[in-house]
Amino acid sequence: MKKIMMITLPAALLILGLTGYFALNNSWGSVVIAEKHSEKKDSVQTLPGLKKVDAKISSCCSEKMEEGSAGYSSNSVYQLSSVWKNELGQKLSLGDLKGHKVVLSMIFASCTYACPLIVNDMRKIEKSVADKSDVRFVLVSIDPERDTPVTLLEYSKRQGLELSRWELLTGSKSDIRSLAAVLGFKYQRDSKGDYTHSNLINVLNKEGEVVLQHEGLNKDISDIVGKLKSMN
Amino acid sequence: MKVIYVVFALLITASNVMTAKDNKDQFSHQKSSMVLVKGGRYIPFWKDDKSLVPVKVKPFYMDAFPVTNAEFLKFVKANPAWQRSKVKRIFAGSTYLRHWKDDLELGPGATPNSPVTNVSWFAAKAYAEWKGKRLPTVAEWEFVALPGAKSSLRDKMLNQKILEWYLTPKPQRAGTVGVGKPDRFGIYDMHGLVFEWVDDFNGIIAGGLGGDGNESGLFCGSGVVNSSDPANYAAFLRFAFRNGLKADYALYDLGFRCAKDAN
Repeated sequence: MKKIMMITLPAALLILGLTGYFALNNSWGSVVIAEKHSEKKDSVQTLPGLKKVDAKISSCCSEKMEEGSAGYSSNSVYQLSSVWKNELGQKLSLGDLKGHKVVLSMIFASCTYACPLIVNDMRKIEKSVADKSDVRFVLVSIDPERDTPVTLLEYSKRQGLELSRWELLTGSKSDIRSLAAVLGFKYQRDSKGDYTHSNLINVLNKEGEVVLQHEGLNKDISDIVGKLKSMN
Repeated sequence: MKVIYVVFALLITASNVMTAKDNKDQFSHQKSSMVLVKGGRYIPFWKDDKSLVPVKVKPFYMDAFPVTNAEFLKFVKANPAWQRSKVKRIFAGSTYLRHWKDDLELGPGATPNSPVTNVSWFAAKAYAEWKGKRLPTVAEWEFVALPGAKSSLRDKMLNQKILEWYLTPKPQRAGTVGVGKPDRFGIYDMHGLVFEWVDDFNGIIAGGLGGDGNESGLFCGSGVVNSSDPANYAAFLRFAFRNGLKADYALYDLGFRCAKDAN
């Protein structure tokens, strides 16, 4: 009897321990797709005329997460004071989006399968809320090496994105990792330079708090549209 | 019943009794010491394709010890935004530093020379940046933690020891850093005290790709097919554990150490 307990006890403890951790975590249902892309080099171009945005330009970036939290709620994504560049090469921080309802996804421009579907979903959302001028659409690149502002600008043209409503952002590896961490977005670069990543559309309220996360591809987007229409 | 207690006691103290010798010497120079890991090739435990190409790990420095309560206290003193009562909720859950007496006092629940736990990924990352360091990557951490390339009897015994530690309920107060033996790199406590955050804990480790983009093959049978070493159950548990984490989690048996690029 004692011997049996000696064996079963550690096993039971293991199960208990794991169950505890996994109960804490509901992210196992999130969505993954492996991407393939073709190598391409970006030609360096001069940037066209700057887009007018209501962005206050943040100076710089050390002591990131300690600073810049003023005015945002404790749960706001805008607590991240990281500085990004948009498709026109303009610097902005996420907090500059405050006051807008934001639909945000993390993608990479050379992605040929999942990301175009995500962007397509977001365009559908855009059409459904065409009359709501306070909604902004944000694509954050997870591929800082290839997705320069110029690449992102080309991408926006290819995708037919209206730049008065869309921002395409590129930032440092570390800041991308932090934003992904805040959103619970998973991604990894594989040995061939491709990215495997979650498929996730996030809706932020005007304070920058995540109010809805939509996982998967080509799924019914009425949840997001409904949220954008109903919230203040 | 007594036998069970004995087993318990053995398991719990297993890591601590390994060696208590040289303890004093180690403490005299350990506090900020980093160890140069020359790097090499590492076959990831997990791959999203079946090619199992070894990944090159570049030379890097790794903290010889996990960050302690005392060290983390210095950090929050210098960076009030990371004190328990001031931290932004999005960066650390409500259990953040719960074992400390208050914002600036460790109290009886937190031994100065024990690894700091109940810290979120954001807090660990901020500490590392404050030190001019960074968190190690999964590849770096595993490169150091895994036994040597060839599976010798010694490695099997090490794996067994690690597994035993995973099977053991962790004490609410972690033991003292630097008490056990260093590993082949001269690094302490990769196993036996606390689990540790890594920079890319939120990397994807799934194998199966469902038609609708779902993580179908995560940790059930199909996942094992993509493992480079299905027998390495200890590594499997670590990957499963990391996959379950969210960046604001502050868990009582989860701490961290820092790394730095060499050169």
